[in-house]
Amino acid sequence: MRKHLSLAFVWIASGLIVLQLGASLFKLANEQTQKQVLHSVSLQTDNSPATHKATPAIDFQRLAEEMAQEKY
Amino acid sequence: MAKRKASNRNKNLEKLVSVVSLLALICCWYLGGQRADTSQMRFFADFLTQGESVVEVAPQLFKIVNDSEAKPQASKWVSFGSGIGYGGALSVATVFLPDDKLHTIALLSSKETAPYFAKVSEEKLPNALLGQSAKQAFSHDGVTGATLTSQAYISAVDSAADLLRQHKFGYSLFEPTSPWQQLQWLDAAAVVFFIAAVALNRSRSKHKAKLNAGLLLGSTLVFGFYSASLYSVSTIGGMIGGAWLMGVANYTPFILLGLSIVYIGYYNRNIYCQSLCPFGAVQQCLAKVGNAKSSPIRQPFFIWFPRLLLLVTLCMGAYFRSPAAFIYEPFGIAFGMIGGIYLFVLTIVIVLTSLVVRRPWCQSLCPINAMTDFIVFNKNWLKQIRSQRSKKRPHIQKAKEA
Repeated sequence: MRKHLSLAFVWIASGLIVLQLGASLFKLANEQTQKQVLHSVSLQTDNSPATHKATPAIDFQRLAEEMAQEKY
Repeated sequence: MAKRKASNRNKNLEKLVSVVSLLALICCWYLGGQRADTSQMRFFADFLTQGESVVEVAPQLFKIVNDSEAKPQASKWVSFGSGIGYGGALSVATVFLPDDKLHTIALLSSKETAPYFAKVSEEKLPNALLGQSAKQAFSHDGVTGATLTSQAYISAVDSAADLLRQHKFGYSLFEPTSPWQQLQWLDAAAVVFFIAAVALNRSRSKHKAKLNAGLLLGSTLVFGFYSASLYSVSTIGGMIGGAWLMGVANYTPFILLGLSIVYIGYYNRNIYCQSLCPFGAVQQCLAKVGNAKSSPIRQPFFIWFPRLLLLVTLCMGAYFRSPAAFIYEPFGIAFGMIGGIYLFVLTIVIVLTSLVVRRPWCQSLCPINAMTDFIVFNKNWLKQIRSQRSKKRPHIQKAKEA
């Protein structure tokens, strides 16, 4: 019984180790081929453009003329 | 007679495998060295936008200028720095704004075990450094559970900032540390524990077993749960690759490994496993709980598989110049909950099996056994060559005299 358990342990552990090494190799090889930096952080600066409130264009000359023509 | 022939054949095969292993390791090391380090170019390619160009101001210090301006002013400063981590050097690129505030940090290369840096990143240490001014030294509390890696990261950023500091303000705040400064009380403790283990194993005391259990307990607390300074495949890789010469943040595993190798070379057995290994002690405790018995597997495949595993791991570590990236032992999970999902499952499997089978990891897959076998085999081989030579010498002398 103990012998069988020992054997099962070695098989399971070997499988897990192979998976672990494979994952490490895959990750490292990917990092090398994709040619990216490993990790990067940047300061979030507020770069949103200043918004100007649209003001209605008023033609004061025309307004004055219209007011002059008004009759009460 | 037939048995003797078969044994000789096996011995010759083992000699061949020993030589091939060394050649494979050298080959991987050489091929790894042929790969160009393009990390700085990669960083500039990612970071620069159209219309910007790089001007080198000093070694490892660059300014970014806009091509459109008649008199180009530095829009940003880029500098590179490195710090000494658990597995060796860790290098970063930093970007500073014209008002000397840190804008970007990019990790270019690292010899740390991946989960340690993942922890540093999860704890938002890099983000905490952003916005700090280069006029002052960069400082931050280390990350618990990844202290050495976080300190190496801060040190790398500060060394990069120091280049700008020196160029713009004419002063330096960064003091590079020599490998000797990395030595700490744990290293002295490693030597003391090892000497105690040797003395205990050579003594004929009645209380030898109890004293050995006490030594294992002390070692588990100090080198296991307190500092996680067990030596592993990555330490063997670092020892072969010379990482310890360039500087590492923790010399304790290297000291324990070096002393073990010397002891194996002299006495043909590894005293570390028996009296000092914290993971062995944990398995032994579990064996006591479950009244486990030893059950070694003697099939040749299970003797050769751990050796192959060790060789392949060392070769990959040598090729990628990162032995710590290929750790497969459960020590990280057992003493610091550091490691991936496969190692976590492996640790659980070992813990459960330890209740029934005595020291299952030590008896089957531990790479330290493969290393011990390799040293003992080659030592005996050298001894054999020497004795053969000394046997031949009298004949040659007699022939000369005649």
